[in-house]
Amino acid sequence: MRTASFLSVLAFSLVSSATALAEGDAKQASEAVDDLDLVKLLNVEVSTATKTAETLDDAPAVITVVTREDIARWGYESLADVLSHTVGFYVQDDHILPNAGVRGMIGGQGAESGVIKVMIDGRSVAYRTTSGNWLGIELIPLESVAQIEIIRGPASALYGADAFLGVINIITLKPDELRPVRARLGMGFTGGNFGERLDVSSGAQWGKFDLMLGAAGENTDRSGLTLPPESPAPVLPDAVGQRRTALDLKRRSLVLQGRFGYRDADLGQIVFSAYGAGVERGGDFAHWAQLTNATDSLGRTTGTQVQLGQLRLNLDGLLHVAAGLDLAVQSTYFRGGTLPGDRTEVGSDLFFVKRHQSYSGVDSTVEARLIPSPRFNVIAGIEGLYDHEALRAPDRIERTSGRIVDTAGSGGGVSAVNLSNFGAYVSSNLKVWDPWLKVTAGLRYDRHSQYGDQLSGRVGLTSRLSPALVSKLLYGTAFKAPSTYLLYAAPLRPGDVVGNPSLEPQHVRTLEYQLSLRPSRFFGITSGVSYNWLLNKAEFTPQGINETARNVASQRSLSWETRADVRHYNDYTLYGSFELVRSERALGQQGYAADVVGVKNVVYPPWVARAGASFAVPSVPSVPLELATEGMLVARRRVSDRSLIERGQDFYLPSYLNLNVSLQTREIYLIPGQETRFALRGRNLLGLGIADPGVSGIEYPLAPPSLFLEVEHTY
Amino acid sequence: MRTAILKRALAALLACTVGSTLSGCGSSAPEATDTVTIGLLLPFTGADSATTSNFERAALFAAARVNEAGGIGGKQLRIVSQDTHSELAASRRSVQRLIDSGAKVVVGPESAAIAPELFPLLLDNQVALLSPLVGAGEDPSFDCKLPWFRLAPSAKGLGESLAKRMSLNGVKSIAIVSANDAYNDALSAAVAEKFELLGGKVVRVSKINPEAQSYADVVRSVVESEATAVVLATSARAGALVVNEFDALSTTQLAWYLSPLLKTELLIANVAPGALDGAQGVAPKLYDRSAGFPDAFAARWQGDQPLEGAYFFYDAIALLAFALEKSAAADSIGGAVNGGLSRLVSSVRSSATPTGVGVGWNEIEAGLSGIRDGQQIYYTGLTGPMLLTACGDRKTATTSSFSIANGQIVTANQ
Repeated sequence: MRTASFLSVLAFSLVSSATALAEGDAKQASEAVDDLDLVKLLNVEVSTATKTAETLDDAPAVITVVTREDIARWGYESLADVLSHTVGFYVQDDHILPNAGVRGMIGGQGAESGVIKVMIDGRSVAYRTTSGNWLGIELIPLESVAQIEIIRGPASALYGADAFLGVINIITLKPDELRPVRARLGMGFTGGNFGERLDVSSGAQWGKFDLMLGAAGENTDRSGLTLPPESPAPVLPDAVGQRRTALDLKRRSLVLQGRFGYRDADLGQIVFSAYGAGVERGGDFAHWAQLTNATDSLGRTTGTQVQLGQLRLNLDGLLHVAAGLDLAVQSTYFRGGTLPGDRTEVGSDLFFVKRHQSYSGVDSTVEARLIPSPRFNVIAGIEGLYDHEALRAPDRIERTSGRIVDTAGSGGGVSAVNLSNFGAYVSSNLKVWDPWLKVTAGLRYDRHSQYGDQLSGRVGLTSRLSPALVSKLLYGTAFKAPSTYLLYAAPLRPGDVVGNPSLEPQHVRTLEYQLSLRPSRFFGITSGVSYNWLLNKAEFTPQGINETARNVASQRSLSWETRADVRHYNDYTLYGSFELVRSERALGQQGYAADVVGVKNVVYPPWVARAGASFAVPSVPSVPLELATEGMLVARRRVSDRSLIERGQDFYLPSYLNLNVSLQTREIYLIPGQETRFALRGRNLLGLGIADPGVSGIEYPLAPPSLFLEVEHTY
Repeated sequence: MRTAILKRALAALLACTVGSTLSGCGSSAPEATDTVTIGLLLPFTGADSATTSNFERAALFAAARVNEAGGIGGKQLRIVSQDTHSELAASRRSVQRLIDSGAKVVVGPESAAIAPELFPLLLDNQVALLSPLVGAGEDPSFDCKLPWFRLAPSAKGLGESLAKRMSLNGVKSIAIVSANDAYNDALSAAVAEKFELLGGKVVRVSKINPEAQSYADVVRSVVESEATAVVLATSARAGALVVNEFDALSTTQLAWYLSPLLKTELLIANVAPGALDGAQGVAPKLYDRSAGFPDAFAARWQGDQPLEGAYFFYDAIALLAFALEKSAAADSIGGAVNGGLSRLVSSVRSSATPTGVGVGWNEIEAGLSGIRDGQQIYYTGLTGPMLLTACGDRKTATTSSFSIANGQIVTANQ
């Protein structure tokens, strides 16, 4: 009740403030900008739902589009940041690689957002060993992004394995959007630690050729966070004593990007792109052991360091074979794994562990796109994937001498595994009765060397009931392949995770309905319900002293997602969203642990409310100012299975409100013809002392408050 | 008909509304009147939790067999589990919960040190204790009138057996690394005493905290002791840590001798490949090594295989089922199981004493049916004859030896 009242007051305050300010500046703003309304936003073209360009309303999927204007307005730093503020998603941050869940469902230990498929320009960016996705700054320079298309719901019928609970496709800038310089530089404090971030993109077009280069990186530090006191079973080094403060949560990320294209309007295009990325994280909240960073009695520095890297080389070709017929060929070479500095502390005073993950392979697609008329199209393709996963057993390194003393595990008795998959798919869209009814159907068959045949399908009915009202009814199935990590993980310390080569894929069936109402160009509301039935949920579960990978459960979720947007030119932008999830699991188990865990959902909050407001504030004409604030109210969350068992009873972490505030200039022209923006951004301002559910006997503190000064320059 | 159902529903709603003002509607009653409850007190968390879920599964499997055979006195047998967290304070709280849930007997705990501390609470509530994996305490001050049954060979007997094996293998000097608890204390003391009697030398005895993350100091001291063999008497987790740190520090291949609780694949899965090859140990002997029980267990639990301790837990529940059925049959009041603690204790003894018709682990239905028909029935057991001493210990508890080769546990044919 108190929460509801607070929300009402907050919403009223935001709206009244925005309205008052907007009235003052309305005339000036409406003269300055006339293209930033919802009509433009909702008519933005998307391509992820069917692999053909269509409007947001026409796309047979539940989609949220985040434009580069949104990224600038709210000051998003990464995809994880974007998803945190997207209805239907919940991001659990373990301070190494965040884990996104969708509509009440979230992966367990080591999932790394593997329940969604993240792509850049249609190509998967998965770190293959865990099949997880890097959602941080290391994913892509956001300055090179045109828009992010976020689909909630299954899409295996089009994208194969792992397009499970959602698909995110990041669309990079088109050649005509390239600029010599787009750069954003930030400096500030995270907690009490100084840090900096850089995000830069540079590109040009010469006739039919275009080139884009980009880089992004961060050097920040979350050290100083404390292990939440709610953590029931941390693994702490014996020497840590009463200290619960993390000494090493340093974060270094880097991504380099390049794209070179030749595009001919009549003939087609060929584009080569490359991404190289690396992450380095201080691992004081790593699942093996916590608070390991210290100086031992001999003056040596100890501590877990996670260092991972990956490289992707993409070749995309498109040939206009005939009018209405295109042939697309795409191929990606990928490789990745642990970097030389990777080291894992396991609590021993004598040794640490060095992991040896690595993978490499090729993923290629040939696709025909037949578009004989605006009312009908069909896409058919085949995809082949080869993935070589090296599973060399980790080494134990003796601290004093640095010598390898032995191997730390058997890798499930396997030193390498070659995985392959062949997929064939067809998808079609037919406007049966335009604009009243559009039908979409798709089917995909996959045959995998490890887990055999999979069939995925989807069907969708899209209807524009009136110019202002759009309805979508969708059904789809998807599967998630067990990752190499789930299949073959070897314990790095007694009690660590153990893989299970006989795991089966997870499946999900989703029925969803969405209604969008846009009565004016300044206001729109979208509301939808979905029912998700997940089978064979695979995750690490307590088994003896270890966490063993198993197909443990089925899960059913009913979710309701609503988002309303108000936008009045450049005067103000408001949004509010609410997500309600009811989810239950059937563990298929019996006994003490099953009784304690029960059927109620864990980790994912039963509801999340989000709101944002951005509006012009009184300022001198040459330096127009804008204030943007986003808040997120997260319901109390049930802790993970492991934490419940350790406690022996039900336990919830309290609800919390988190707040981001930015004061920024709009475009100012310090150099003629060149745009510059300044922004002062405060993030997670109310996040101190709050914990989110963890999965390995600890809970995770939220990221500390941060205050950054940013300069963005476009030439 | 519909009206009657409606009236019943309204009556229930009224009762619920009134009752909820006093005790809260919807909360489960302490004990369902149509069930007989056995409490299971085990370390589901903490240092000794490695094997617990497997043992619990054995108990649940046995209870399911009992219920398939008609239950106890016409009532379903219910297993209620609680966690000791491998510590006394949590054990006390958990025992109280088991008593509150109506348990007639508590099966467990894992520790010979914890069990005696629980007795005042158990006796006050007329609840018996049966410990499948705790052996005779060898404590002369122990009160044999206490209703405490122990199915495992004594720690002393197992320790002596391990000492004999080392002596037979020609081991001259040993170091002992033992968890600091009553069971492992008794075992390591018996090893040391017997080994020295047989002419060997104990060069070091190290007690370790089972909750620690590193045993570097202990490992260093044992390496420096130049013992040719190490006796490991710990939990699987602590044992794995010790073995791994030995492996990191010592370049010589040590001869490992393992306590009964370390006869588990969980230990092997958590140590460096080959680190324990050649290790030997002793464990309570299993009499029934046929595939019948493991196959049935695996079929019930999605392929999970029973650990050796699971055999003892199955036996414990089966023995108690026969005892409870005998108590129920002897009770003249409508078959209710309310014959009291003394009747239950005598029923346990008679169910373990080989008089009349013996029934095996897979003949629970026949056994319960026989008791209802007035036959004299006793349980023969997966782990051998159940015959108990006056103090509640197994009379015929014997040991077997095992070794580890190529990452597999090999049990000697005895």
